[in-house]
Amino acid sequence: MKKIITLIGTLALLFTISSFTSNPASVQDGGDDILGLWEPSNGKARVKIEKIGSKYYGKIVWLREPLDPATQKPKVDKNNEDEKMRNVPLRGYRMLKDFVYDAESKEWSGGTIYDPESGSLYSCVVTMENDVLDIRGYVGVKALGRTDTWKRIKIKKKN
Amino acid sequence: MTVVFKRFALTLFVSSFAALGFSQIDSSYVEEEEDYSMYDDVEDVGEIKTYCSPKIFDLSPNRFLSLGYDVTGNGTLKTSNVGAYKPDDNVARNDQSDLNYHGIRLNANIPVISKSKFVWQVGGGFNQSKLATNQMANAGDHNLLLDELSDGLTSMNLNTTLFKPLGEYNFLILQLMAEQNGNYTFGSSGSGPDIKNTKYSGTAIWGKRPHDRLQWGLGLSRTYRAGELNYIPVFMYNYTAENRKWGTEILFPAKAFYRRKIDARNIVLVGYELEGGSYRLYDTKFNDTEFNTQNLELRRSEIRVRLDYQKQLKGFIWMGVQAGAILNYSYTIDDLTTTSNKDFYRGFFGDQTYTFSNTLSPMPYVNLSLNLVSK
Amino acid sequence: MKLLQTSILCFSLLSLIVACSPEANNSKEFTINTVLTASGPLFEGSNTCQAEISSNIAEYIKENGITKEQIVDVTLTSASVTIDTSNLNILESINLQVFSDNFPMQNVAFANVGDNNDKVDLEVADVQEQLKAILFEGKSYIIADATIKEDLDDDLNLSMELVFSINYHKK
Repeated sequence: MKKIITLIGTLALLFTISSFTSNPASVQDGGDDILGLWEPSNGKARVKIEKIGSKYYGKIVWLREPLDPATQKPKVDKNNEDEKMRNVPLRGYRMLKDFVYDAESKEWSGGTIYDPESGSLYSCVVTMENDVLDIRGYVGVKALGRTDTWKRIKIKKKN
Repeated sequence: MTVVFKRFALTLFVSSFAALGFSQIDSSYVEEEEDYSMYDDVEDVGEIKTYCSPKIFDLSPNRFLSLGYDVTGNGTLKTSNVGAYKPDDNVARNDQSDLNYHGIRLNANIPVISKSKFVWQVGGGFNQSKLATNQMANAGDHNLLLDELSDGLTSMNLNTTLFKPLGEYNFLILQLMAEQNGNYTFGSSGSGPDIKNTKYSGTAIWGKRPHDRLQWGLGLSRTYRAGELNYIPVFMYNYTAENRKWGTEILFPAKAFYRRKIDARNIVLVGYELEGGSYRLYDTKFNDTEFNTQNLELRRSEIRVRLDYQKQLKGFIWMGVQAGAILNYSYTIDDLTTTSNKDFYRGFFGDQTYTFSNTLSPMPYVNLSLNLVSK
Repeated sequence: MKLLQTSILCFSLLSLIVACSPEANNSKEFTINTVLTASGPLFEGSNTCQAEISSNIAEYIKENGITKEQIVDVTLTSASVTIDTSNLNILESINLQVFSDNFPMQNVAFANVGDNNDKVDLEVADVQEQLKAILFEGKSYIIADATIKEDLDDDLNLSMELVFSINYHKK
């Protein structure tokens, strides 16, 4: 009897530990593989992809040229369609928004990518292979779009 | 038993408390804070190559689909009689009429492959010029010629463009086009278009993109823009000033524009564009013993000098308004009977004769368009 | 000529459809108060915190005798932030975003923060979409990206008041 009770208690504890350490369902189907730091092919920015709720977002965390040459001040979203949003700083700007992972097609879709250079917001779909992202921004249908490749990067460990 | 039970209950109690604490969804999620300076020093995990972009900053928007309407004012068409006229001959053009034209312009440019390392676009166009004219009484060949033009001039084309970056700074562009131009209409009992009369043209450019505001190139073109077959060098120069307010979009000699950016959604271009083609005249009625042919081609070319205003309406829908003057460079006619109905190369220095030597005076024009674009 | 006639017909039909759309001729204010906290230590630059809001907008309209179908749209008319006195002069800017599980994230308000301001009125975005749908979802999220001028050991507390206008047409 003592052994049975101990066994039940141990199982309960183990179950609790696994609940604590287990990740939401999307990790098990690969969605969280996209989390981390990425650099577009032109090397002008670095984007951190994070998860909020059940969706994925990408925030600009570094700019190769952080100052606007015209004003010598940190770059802002000066081409935004909405005049009132034109002073939002680009560093910290969420340029990738609202991506949902589809485990069947292995892609992150339903999101948007914002181009601060033109103030244009494109529909977007993302696929990943070997630490390289294919980011396809498009207008209306996927055929009317362009794909860019981003590489995964990581912060160098300080000695 | 009591001790054992107590131990079990305690274990269960602790376990359930822990479960509540950690597996419940945290509704006040607070993101981990970060020092942004740490992103200065990174190393690659994935591997990609960097390629130069097909665009530079602030170019006028690329049009996926364009629907436009073109209207001109009157120009005076002066025609010669049927003859054999060398390009430099002094020609008597005794008959004239006023004419103007209008029509729709529909163009599509769809990216088949659009990636950093290769871009392939396929496109098509359909342009119509419906003519309106005041025909003269007893004007013989002149009126017969106007009759050929009365159904309008139609141009259809299929084209493809390839952009291949050669690393980070150099690139190649190849553009090919097949056109069917003529006085044909659809749905009527008339002839045309005939695949034998398809005209082929193309351009190849090698270029450099040293930075985000400049793109230039040199190349060669086989073209009908001057109205007839020609081989010419081309020079491309797309530039945006450092203040991002102005720039150029040049593909000389086909077009050259100065661009002024009012803001991200309004731009103005001033310059010119050379448009033209060789138009087959089907079902001609020149039936006399001296002149009987079905092989006439109108060598039509015009320089459109214009102010071009482009504005975003909503999202990726932009409108375009052009206003300017058409300077008619060529309106001559060749009879291809003498070359077994095959087109031939005259170029700038050939002296093969024209069958009709005509001129068309300048005319004002306006063009309105609705466009689905990408910036 | 045919093309011109077709264009005129299409334009007239479009105008008719637009004219017949119901217009909002009434509005009611709906306020949400919430506290957004970023737990210290925080670093100079953009720091984010999120709060989940369970808006009781459905109950509110019911109390006021309005049905969901009567509502034309919901717009954010003002957003203000009260900053803890301990955090005065540290804030540089605030960028406010809202979203829910089924509707996309959008910027709704922004402000550059001046010195010695303990209350900041944010500039509300002109372009606002689907706020009605987001609030009626029941569970929605507010993200505030707060840019601070220097490192901060303590928490950053922002008390936020969001005032929405519920624009509806009478039955």
